[in-house]
Amino acid sequence: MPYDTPEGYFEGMKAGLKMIPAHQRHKVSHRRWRYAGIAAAAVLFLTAGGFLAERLTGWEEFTEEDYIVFSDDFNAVYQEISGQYASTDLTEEDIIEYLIYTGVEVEEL
Amino acid sequence: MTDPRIIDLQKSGNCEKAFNAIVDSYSERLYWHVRRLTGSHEDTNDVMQDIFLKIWKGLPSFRGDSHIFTWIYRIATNETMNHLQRKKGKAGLDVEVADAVLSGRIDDDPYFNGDSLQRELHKAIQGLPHKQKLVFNLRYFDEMKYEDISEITGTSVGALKASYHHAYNKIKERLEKIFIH
Repeated sequence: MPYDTPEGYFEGMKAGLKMIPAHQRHKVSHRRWRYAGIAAAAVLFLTAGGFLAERLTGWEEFTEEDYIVFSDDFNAVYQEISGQYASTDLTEEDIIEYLIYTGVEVEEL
Repeated sequence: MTDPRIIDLQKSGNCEKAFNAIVDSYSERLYWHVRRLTGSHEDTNDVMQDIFLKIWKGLPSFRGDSHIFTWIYRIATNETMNHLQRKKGKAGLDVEVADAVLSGRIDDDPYFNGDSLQRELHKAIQGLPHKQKLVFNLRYFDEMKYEDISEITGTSVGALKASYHHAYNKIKERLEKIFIH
């Protein structure tokens, strides 16, 4: 052939071409790690998202009965408790003692 | 290494060894095959990477329905043709202008070391339509049988003979114009 190639070209070319399998394996393994990372991030996102959604929407699921537990209106609490125990043998004194025992201030009673 | 030994390696699942054997046995031959089609060392160098990447990816699924050398040449030819088409597309050239550009490349090629007859012969070959150039190169330089060229190009032997005949006449006519008249 009336063509030349740069000095040592074929040796370099062969060595370069023989690197293809190793290079491709590295690429595939790198891609696998990337997909695994994406999958892990997706799982984490879904888990965190689910947890957050539950916390945010959880308030709506409280019934009026639940809400009263969180209320500052102690009278409502008292009424509720005394109402609940009205049908038991507990006296009003027992209930007051219980409330004092649980940390309710005397002034609030 | 011989082709049957390469196939043995491939069939026994030793694809990397088979691939390395292909590189040793075929890379230089393929380089010249591609170089005759592109007319440039730089383009050939680019295409060689793509060819061997395709060979590596396709090797595990090679079933031996065709000869391994025709399979390799088919990949090389397709990759080279795709490369040339992409280049034409990028440059926005139509086919005739692009062939003329390829033909003129030899004058600027620092790696061409032939005499004036060889220069004109290769310029005439570069000026041929792609298919005729491919058939002419495989037949004239690689001395391949038409049956093998048919396997590589997916063209009938009759059509290949006609292509070669047209190519031969065009080259002859061009050289006669330059050197006889």
